[in-house]
Amino acid sequence: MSDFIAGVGLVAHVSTFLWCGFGAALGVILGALPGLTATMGIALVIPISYQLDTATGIGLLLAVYCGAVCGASIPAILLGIPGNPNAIATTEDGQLMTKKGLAGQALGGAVIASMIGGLGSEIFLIFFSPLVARMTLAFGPAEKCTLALVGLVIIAAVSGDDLLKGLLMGALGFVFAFLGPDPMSGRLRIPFASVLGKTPFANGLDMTSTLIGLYGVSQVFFELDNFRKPQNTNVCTDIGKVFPPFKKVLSMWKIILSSLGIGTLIGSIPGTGASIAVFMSRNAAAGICEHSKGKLDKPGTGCLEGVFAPEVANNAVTGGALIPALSLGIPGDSATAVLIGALMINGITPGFALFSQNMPLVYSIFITLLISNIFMGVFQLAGVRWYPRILLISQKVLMPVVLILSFLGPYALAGSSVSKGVYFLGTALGMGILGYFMKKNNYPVAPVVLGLILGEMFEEQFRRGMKLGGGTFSRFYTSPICWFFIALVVLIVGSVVLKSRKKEKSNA
Amino acid sequence: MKGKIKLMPAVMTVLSAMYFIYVLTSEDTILAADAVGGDPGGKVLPMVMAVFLFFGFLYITVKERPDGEKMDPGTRRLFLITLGLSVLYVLLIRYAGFVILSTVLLYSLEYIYTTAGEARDKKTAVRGGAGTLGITVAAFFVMRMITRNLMILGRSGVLPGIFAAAAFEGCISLVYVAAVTFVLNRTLCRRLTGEKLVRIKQAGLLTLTTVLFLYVIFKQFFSVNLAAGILNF
Repeated sequence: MSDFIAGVGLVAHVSTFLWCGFGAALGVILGALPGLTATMGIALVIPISYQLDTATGIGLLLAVYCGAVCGASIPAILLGIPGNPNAIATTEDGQLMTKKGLAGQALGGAVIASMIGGLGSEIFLIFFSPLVARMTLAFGPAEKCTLALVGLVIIAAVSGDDLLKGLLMGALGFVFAFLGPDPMSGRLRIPFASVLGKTPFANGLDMTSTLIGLYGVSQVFFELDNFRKPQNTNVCTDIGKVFPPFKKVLSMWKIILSSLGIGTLIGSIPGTGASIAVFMSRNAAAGICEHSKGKLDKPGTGCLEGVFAPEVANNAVTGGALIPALSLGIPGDSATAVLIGALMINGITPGFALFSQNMPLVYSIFITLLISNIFMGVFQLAGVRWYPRILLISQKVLMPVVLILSFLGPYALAGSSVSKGVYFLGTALGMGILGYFMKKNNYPVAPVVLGLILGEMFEEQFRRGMKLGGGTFSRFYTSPICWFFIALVVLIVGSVVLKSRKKEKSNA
Repeated sequence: MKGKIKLMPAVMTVLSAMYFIYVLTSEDTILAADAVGGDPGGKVLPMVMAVFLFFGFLYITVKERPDGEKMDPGTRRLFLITLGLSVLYVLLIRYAGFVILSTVLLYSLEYIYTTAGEARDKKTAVRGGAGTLGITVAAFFVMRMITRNLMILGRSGVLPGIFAAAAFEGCISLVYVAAVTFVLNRTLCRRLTGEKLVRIKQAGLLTLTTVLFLYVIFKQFFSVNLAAGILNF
């Protein structure tokens, strides 16, 4: 109880509420604008979060994350274009409702559903993350090393269509991490150490600059292809009544509960992600509607049920995905991968140590997530009549601002040293160009980020494991936990290979 | 061979080979005491990764063929302009400073992007850029003068103590930025009519507001050491 009170104390500042509110509003706008993603939003606000106290900084990051997931439903409903893959399943019914003149109800329903999903999944997060974290007590160096490998393989497997490309990008992330000093002896490993060893590069690549470069700068270059195409200006501006009938919402309780369960469960399984959860919840909702004896409308007919089911699920995924992210340090998707990086930049290493040594901070994370979800709902409902205008903002106008922000972010982290700032700026630009070519050639970005985040831990634990085994792999092959993780890796890789072969066959 | 292999995997294959050679020839980072204990050293994993990257990218280089899709000349020009301006930004920021360089970069990109595919009046655009830079620097100078003097008066006790607080000065600066934007939008911008001038007006106003706003947030609220450059006062 005293930990909880201490946690409340960490967030009981006006500034925490203001920053969570700001983050939620920013997230909603980022999610609403096609081309801007939750991942990019988190990467761009890392430098601001770093300037704030830890609890407030994390609150800001979580608010952007929740807001962006929820905001993606706005273009899905008004334009028929999902802001990100999480809102794909909302598009059909949302657009049909807009065509029926019920855009306001669809938007309002999406916000209420997102709040239910976000807040509901947080209950699971509060109960399950300490339990999962407790399991890691049994982990030694070999287990931690294998766990890092599992995280990387999962992200590599789910980030793109090609497993090999994902794994190669993960390995590239590891190489970036290995440019830092040797974790055991502290010796420099950067190439041209006689020159670069005297610069900030001596400590390896800066994580924030790399994150911002790969997600922010690269996006600006990537969007250049779309600048010569005509912009969609056909946005519905007359949205009508905003709140859906209360009785209607109550009548959907079975859909809400099933979507909440599906979203949280799928989110908590690393590597699955919201895009699977939204379709599963929509299918489950269709089943519930069939057995409702006509009381509920079937998704696909332009009804609130088809908006509620995926929107509850995709926000439930945010709470679910934080369970392995906070307790094990394994991300569920690219957004949580960047979130883990952001937490580490803010001095927080996910895992049992966080839960055993800093429980007040864990509680403060839960509380800020709660505040963020509430702000997300309030802002989205309050600004519902402004969204058609936001959607009219051109990418051509936005992208230069994104570029300046991407340059300012790494610079802000350099502290008082201007020359360090210039090195960080150079890293962000270099990584931005690399990220652009990766995206153009269909190489996923998330595994590079995760490789960079996990690389140091992977190497350190690998070498410790080897030392404990007297220079052999005995610590690895005698541990049942390691075997479990290796089996998990084989299972994931196997399923991805089978899936892609099946896809190839059906295409042929 | 030109055009028959994909450039990115081929380049990555070469880079992986170079990294492997670098790791192989570099000094071992292993400590003498750890060698006895069985530490494989700091070269093992980088070498494993280099080998994996080399063979992986080599396989993709052999397997994949270019899809024939090329960047159209207009987009390529936009890409090169963005890249060139970004490189200049990185190289010159410590000398020219945040306010001047950000204004130049932001205005240039806003104008070039919003007029992509249209005929441009370069002379008017350059004049607009010079005007935007002049107004932004002037507005910045006035803002700094106001906040600095208010802070001095606050510290000396002439004004209430709150005026000496950096956050309060930041709030005053935010109000100032909003006021300057509003006044310019209602006065100077209204005079700029015509299709070509509208583009310049929009790019200029957005540049001024964004640069000053970011300066206030990062410098005045978070005390980030933004490069002052030649505006070192």
